[in-house]
Amino acid sequence: MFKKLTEEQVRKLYAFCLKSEVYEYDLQIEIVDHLASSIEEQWQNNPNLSFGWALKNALKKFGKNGLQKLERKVKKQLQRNFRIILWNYFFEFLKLPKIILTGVFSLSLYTIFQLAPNNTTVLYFITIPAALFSFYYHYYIFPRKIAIHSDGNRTFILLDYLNNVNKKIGFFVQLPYWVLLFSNELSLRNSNIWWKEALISFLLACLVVLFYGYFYYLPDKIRGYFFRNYLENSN
Amino acid sequence: MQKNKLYKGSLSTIVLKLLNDKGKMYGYQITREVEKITTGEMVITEGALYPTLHKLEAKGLLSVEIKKVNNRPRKYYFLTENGKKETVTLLNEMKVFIQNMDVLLNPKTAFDV
Repeated sequence: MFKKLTEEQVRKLYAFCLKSEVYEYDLQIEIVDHLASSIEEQWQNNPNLSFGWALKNALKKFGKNGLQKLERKVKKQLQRNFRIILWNYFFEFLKLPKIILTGVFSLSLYTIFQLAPNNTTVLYFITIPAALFSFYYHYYIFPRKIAIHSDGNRTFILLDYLNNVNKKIGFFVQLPYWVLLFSNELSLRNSNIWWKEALISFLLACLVVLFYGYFYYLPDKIRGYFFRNYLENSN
Repeated sequence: MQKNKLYKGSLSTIVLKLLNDKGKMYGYQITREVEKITTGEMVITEGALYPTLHKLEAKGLLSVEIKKVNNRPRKYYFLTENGKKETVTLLNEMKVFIQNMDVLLNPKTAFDV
């Protein structure tokens, strides 16, 4: 039977992560297990080696400031992962069968633009409710239905990212202002140029798809992953 | 180590192949297994391994399972169905690549064959 780390020693490794400015529990799990496995392997050959020395040896492989560097790399990779998930979701709406939905929505908007005497007014009718909904999402939907509150001592890269989603809603609050800013520039007001109206319709449809993807689909994926993997292991 | 730069672009293939052979593995086990198979010739750094594992997971090629082992949670990685298919493709590509490199570096061998 080989020597294993005690609960106290495992706690020391978590404390070491915090001291090394790795605050996120989802990353700490992997670092602690990596260090612990290395320490236990050293104990197989030399059971009398102290915990401190074994830890020192285990850290050598990470290099200077290795834990912080690893944290930065993993965070960057996770952000890239979320972008991959979002874009994969988005491109589904540009392929069959979901492109039919995008097409129908674009066509409906195009018809409205064609029939309406003033395109800017139509844009206000769409963007002002979107901006109002953004406030509702930020202050009501997200905190009550999407956010996950972990216990006070632990942070998670996943949850940081999830909370960051709510901060990005500000983009939609600004939409009416953008319409005000660019409608004259693009001569939208009484424009009957078909391609311009078709393009705006398509872009708006894409924006709606992205809105749903970023504020509902992606958080749902993060929540699912978090509940599946970390909730029962966070104790 | 200079030679490790040559392996860097193949890290995903190496990880997928290992998981294909061994089933479930955790991070430390992967680094040690690679060292063991290559008798220490190849060393995977932690800074390269974990971002690669997370990338493969995001691509849907790997799945994870966290289990409590020796007083601590341990994250195991294993191949998904897509991961198994991708491993076959990548290994075939790698074999062709190695054959081509061999022909380029040893032109005589190409004529002999």
